[in-house]
Amino acid sequence: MRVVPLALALTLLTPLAALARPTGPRGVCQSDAGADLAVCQGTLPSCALCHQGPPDLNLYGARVFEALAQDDGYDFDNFEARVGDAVAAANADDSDGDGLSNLEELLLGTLPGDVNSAFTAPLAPSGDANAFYAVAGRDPRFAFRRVHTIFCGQPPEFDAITAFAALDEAEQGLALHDTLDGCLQSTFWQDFALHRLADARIRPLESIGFDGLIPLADYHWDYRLFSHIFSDDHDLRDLLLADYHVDESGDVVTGIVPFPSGAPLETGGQPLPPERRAGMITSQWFLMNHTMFSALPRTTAAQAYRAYLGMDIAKGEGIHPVDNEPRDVDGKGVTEAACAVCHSTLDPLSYAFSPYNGIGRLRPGSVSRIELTGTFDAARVPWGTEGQLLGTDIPDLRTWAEHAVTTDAFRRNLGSMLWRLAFARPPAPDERTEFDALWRGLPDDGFSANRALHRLIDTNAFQVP
Amino acid sequence: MTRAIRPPATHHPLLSRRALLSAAAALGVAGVLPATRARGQAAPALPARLLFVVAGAGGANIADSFLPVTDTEAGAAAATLAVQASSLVETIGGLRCVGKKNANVGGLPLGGNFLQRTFLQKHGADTAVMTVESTSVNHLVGQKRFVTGAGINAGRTIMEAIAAVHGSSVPLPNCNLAAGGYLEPGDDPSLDRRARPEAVADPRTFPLATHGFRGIANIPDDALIRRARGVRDQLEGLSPFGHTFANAPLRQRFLDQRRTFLPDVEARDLITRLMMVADDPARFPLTQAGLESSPDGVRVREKFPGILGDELEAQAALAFMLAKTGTSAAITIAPSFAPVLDGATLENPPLAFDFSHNDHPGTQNVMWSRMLRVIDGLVDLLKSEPDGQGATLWDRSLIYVATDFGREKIRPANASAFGTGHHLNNGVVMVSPLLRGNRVYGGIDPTTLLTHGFDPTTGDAAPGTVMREGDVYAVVAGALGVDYPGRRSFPSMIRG
Amino acid sequence: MRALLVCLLVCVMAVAVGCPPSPSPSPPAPLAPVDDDGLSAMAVSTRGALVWKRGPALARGLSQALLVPVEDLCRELGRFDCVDFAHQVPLGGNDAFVKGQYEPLLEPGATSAVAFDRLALSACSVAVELDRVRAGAFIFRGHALTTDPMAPDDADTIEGARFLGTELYRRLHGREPREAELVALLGLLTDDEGRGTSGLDFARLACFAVASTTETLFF
Repeated sequence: MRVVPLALALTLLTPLAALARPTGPRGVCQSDAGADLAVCQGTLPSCALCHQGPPDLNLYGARVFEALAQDDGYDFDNFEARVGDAVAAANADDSDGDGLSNLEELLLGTLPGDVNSAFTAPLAPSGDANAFYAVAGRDPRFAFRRVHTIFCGQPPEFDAITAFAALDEAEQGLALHDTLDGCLQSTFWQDFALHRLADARIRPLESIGFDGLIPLADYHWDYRLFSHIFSDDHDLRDLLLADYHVDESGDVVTGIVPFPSGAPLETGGQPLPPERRAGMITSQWFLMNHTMFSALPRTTAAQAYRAYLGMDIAKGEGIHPVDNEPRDVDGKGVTEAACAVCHSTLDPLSYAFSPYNGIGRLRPGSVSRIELTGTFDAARVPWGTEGQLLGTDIPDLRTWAEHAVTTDAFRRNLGSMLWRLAFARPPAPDERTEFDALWRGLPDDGFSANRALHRLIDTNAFQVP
Repeated sequence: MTRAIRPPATHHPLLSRRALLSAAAALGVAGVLPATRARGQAAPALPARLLFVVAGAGGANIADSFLPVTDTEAGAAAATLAVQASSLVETIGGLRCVGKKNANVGGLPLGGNFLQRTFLQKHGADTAVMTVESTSVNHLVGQKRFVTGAGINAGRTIMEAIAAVHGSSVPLPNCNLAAGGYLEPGDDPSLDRRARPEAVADPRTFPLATHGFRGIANIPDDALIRRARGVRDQLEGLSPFGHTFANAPLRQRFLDQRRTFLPDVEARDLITRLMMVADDPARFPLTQAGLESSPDGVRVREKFPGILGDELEAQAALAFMLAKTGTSAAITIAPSFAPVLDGATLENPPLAFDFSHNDHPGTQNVMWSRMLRVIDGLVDLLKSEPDGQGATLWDRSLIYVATDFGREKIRPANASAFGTGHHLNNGVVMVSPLLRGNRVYGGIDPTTLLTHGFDPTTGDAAPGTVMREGDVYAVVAGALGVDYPGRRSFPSMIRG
Repeated sequence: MRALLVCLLVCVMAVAVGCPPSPSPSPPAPLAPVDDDGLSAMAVSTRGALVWKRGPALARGLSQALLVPVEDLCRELGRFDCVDFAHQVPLGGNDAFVKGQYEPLLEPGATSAVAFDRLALSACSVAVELDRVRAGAFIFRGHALTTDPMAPDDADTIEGARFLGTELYRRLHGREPREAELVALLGLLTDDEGRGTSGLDFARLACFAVASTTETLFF
C-alpha cells in the first residue's frame, strides 16, 4: 500500500473550488504528451477539457486528477510540470465511455470527458457505383457547384455545368481555379461574404455608428479594411499590422484621417498616427466600442484575442496565466480566486491597450473631449507597458500585434476564418489534417487569403461528396 | 382551381358569422348550428411554467426604481451621490419607488408618464427586488452573464433551461425578440436543439413565419399546394442528390423539421392567432393577402396601442400571444437602442438605459417607466387569460427584468444633471406570484449606494456579502422548477 | 313561419360557411408511387458534409433561374423583403447592425422550413406571373398559362408537363431530370380528386415542388 503524504491527502480532501489550476492548459501542451493533441495545435485546451463547470471536474478531469494523486513526483506546486504525465497516464482509458479512448479523443479534438462529444469516422461507401456523385472520391462537378455558390454567391447555370462536365480531368482542375479567381473579384465576395465574416470581429451597432443617431465612430472603415486585407493577395497579417486605412473609393490612405466635415460629433475619422496603429484592433470604432470608458480595457483585449487569435477567454479558452497576476491595477476586485483564474491571463493581455482612449478622454462619470475617441495617450494609465501575450513581454500594442502574428494561434485562426468562409462551420475531426495543412501553409502563401482558398478548394473536405 | 387572393372560407361579405349566430340565437336554433371551430383552435397544451425575460438593455439601475436612497438618508454624502430627492420617493407596501422626473434631452421632453407607484400598487405583492453584484461592465458580456448566470448551468441561458424542461409540448419553446448579448445562444453543446433560441426579427411580421403559404399572392388553393408538397417529398427520394445525401445529418434534421414543425404550426393557425396587427391596406394589408388579425388582436392593441411604431410594445404583445397560444415557454424582449418618440416626447432615449452616460436621472426615470408600463400591460393580459385549469396564465409565470449592469453611484457635487458610467453593483427586479414579493432581498448602504446581499434562507440582509449572476439564475430556475447540479436554494424568495 | 325561417337560416349558413372546417387539413390522396429506376442501389455519401445555402445565395440562385429580380422574389404582404428582413434569420442570415446578431445560425432552425417554402412558392408565383404577362413565355412553356383545367391524360398535356419539368430542373438544379422525377411531376396534373389542374396552377406547383427540394437548399 502506498502511503499518501499527509499534505497530498489533505489536498485530496480539500474542496475542489480551492484548487483552481489555470496553468493546466499550458502544462498539457508544453509536455511531451501534448505535442500531437488536437487541442494543442495552434491553440490551448479550454477549461472544458477537464472541467464541467469550473472548478468541478468532469469524468476525464477526475481521471487526470487521480493520475496526479498517484504520481510520486507531484507535490501540488508543480502541477504545471506534472499534468502532462498525468494526461499520458490516462490515455488508455475511456473516461466518458463513448467507445473512444481518451487519447483517441484528444487526437481527434473531441472531449474525452463528455459522452456527447464523440466522432465516428465515416465508412467507405458501398453499393453500386453512383452515376451522379463520385462518393468514393473527389468529384470535380460537385466542387464546381460549391465554388460558384460559396464564392460567387449563386449556383452555376445549366450550360456552365454542362460545359464543365465535358472537360477532361486536368481541364476541370484548371477551370475550378479560374472560376474561383473570378468569384474572388466579385462584389458578392468582397462586399458581402467578407463583410459577414467581419461582423463578429467588428461588432457594429447602428445606433452609435455613422448610420445612427449618436455617431461615435464609423465602422465602415473597419469593413473596408477587412475586405481589403482578405482580397487581392494582400497579407492577412495586416489584420493586426496595418498602419493604413481604406477609403470609400477603395484607395489605401495613410496617416491620420480627420473626422468628416459636417459630422454631428467630432468623430468618424481615424485619429491614430501610423506608428500607433495595429490593424483592425486600433480603428476608432474598435477602441470606442470595446474600451468605452475603461481604464484597463479588458473587453478590448478579450475581443482582439477572440477575433484574431481564436481564443475566447469568456469560454475558458486561451488561459495562459502570468505569475503574480492579476494585480488588480484598477481596483475591480479581480484578485478573488474565482476571478483570478481568467484574469491572470486577461489583465496582462490588456495592459498594452490601456494607452488608447475609448470614448473621449478617460474620465469617470461623464463623456469628455469626444474628439479624443480612439486616440493614443501614453499618460492615460501607468501600466500600459507591462503587458504579456502568450509568454512574451509586451511593452506596447504594436509589439502585441507583431508578436501575435507570429503565433500558431493567429495562423490557426486565419485557417478557421477561411474554413468558415467556405463551409460556414468549423472543421470536423476527420478534416483536421487538411485544416492544419491549410493554416500551416499560410507562410508559403505569403499570407494571401486568395492563395489559401485555392488550396482549400483542392482539399477532400471541399471535393468529396 | 386557381386561387386569387381571397378572404378566408368563413367570411361571407353579406352575412358575417357573428350576424348569423345572432340571428340563430334569436330564433332559438343555436343547437342546429354546425359545431364549427375556427381553424386550429383546439385548446393548446400550455407549458407548466412561463418565463418572460424583459431585459433592461443598457444598464437599469435599481437605485432609480425600487431600491432608492433619499438625500436625507445619505446625509453628508448626498451631495456627491446619485440619490433621489426625498419628495420623490414613496413607499408602497414593502417596496419603495421613485416619482416622475421632468427632464428633457436635447430639447425633447422625456416621457415616462407611467408611474412606478402605479406598478407597485397593482403588482407590488408579486414584485421582488434582489440585490446583485455582477462581473462585467461590458454590454455584451454583462448581458449574457445575466441570462447564463455567468455559466452556472453548463452555459445554458435561463431561457434555454426553461425551454428544455417546460417546452416539450410547444412548437417554439424559446422565442427571443431581444438583441445583443440577450439574443446570444448559451454555450452548452448538449442542449436539445429545440430549446435553442428562435430569433424573431420583427414581432409584427413573425406570424408569417408560421405558415408555409398563406398570405402569398397568386398561388393555387391549399389542397393543391399540399399535393405539391407530397410530390416534392417524392422528388426528394427520386433525386440523385436526395439519394446520395440521404444520410447527411444537416439534411436529415431539416427534413425532420419540415415533417413535424411545419404541419404542427400550420394546424395551430398561428399565422392568425399571433397576428397582432389590424388590417391596414397601406401598412399591413391582411385582408388583401387573405389573412386575418388575431381574435386577441383587439385587446392586445388596447393594452399596447403603440405596436405599429413601438418595437417594445409589439414585442410584449407577441410575448403574450406566444404564451396564450401555447407556442413558447420562454420569451425574451428588450427595448432597442433606437430612440422612440411619442409625439414630441422621448419615450426611449437613444441607447436605452445607456443614455445614462449623458443624462442619468432623466434616462433612468423614463426607461424604468417604459419598462414597467410594458410589464404592467403584459401582467394584465396574463392575469386575464384563463389557463383552462381554474387559474390564469399569470399564476404560472415569472417576469425577470435582466439588465447589463448597474450605474455609477456618484455625481459631481450637487449636480442635478449628470452622466454615469457602468457599475457592477446593482439589483434586479422579478415579478411573479411564484415568488414572495413585496420586499427587497438584500440591502443598500445609504452612504455609498452600494447594495449588499442576503441570507438565502431567511431573506435577511447580510452586509458584507454580495449575490452574483448565478444566484439570480438560481432564483429564477428554482421558482420555475428547473434544477441543475449545484443549484443554490433560496427558500426565502420562492413560494412553496 | 318560424320553422321556415329556421330552415332558411340553416340553409344559408350551410351555403355561407360550407362544411365545418376541420381543425387540421385532410391529408392528400396518396400520390402514385414512382419507381426510382435503380437509384436506391447506388452508393450513398458517407461523409454527408453538406453546406447550407444561405438566404442571399438562395435568392440569387432563384433569381437567376426564374428570371425574377432578387428584390421581387418574395415580399411579405407586398412590402417586407423575405430574405433581408422578414425571414432573414431562418434563411441563414444575421442582423449585425440593429440586433447585434454577429453570427448566423449554424444550421437551419425550426422556422427555416417554413421560410424556405414561402420563398420558393413566392418566387415561383412571381415568375409565373411575369411569364403570363409577357408576349411569349420564357420559362413556363408547355401549357397555356390559363385557369382552364387541362385534360391530364391528354398526350399534349403530358408532353407539355415533361417539357416544363425538364426546363425547371435545368434552371433550378443545373441538370437534366431523371425519368422518375418527370413521372412524379405528372402527379400535379390532377388534384386529389383526380380533376385536371389548370396550366397556370401546374406551372406554379411544378416550380414549387422542384424549387423547394433540399437540392436547392444544400450543396
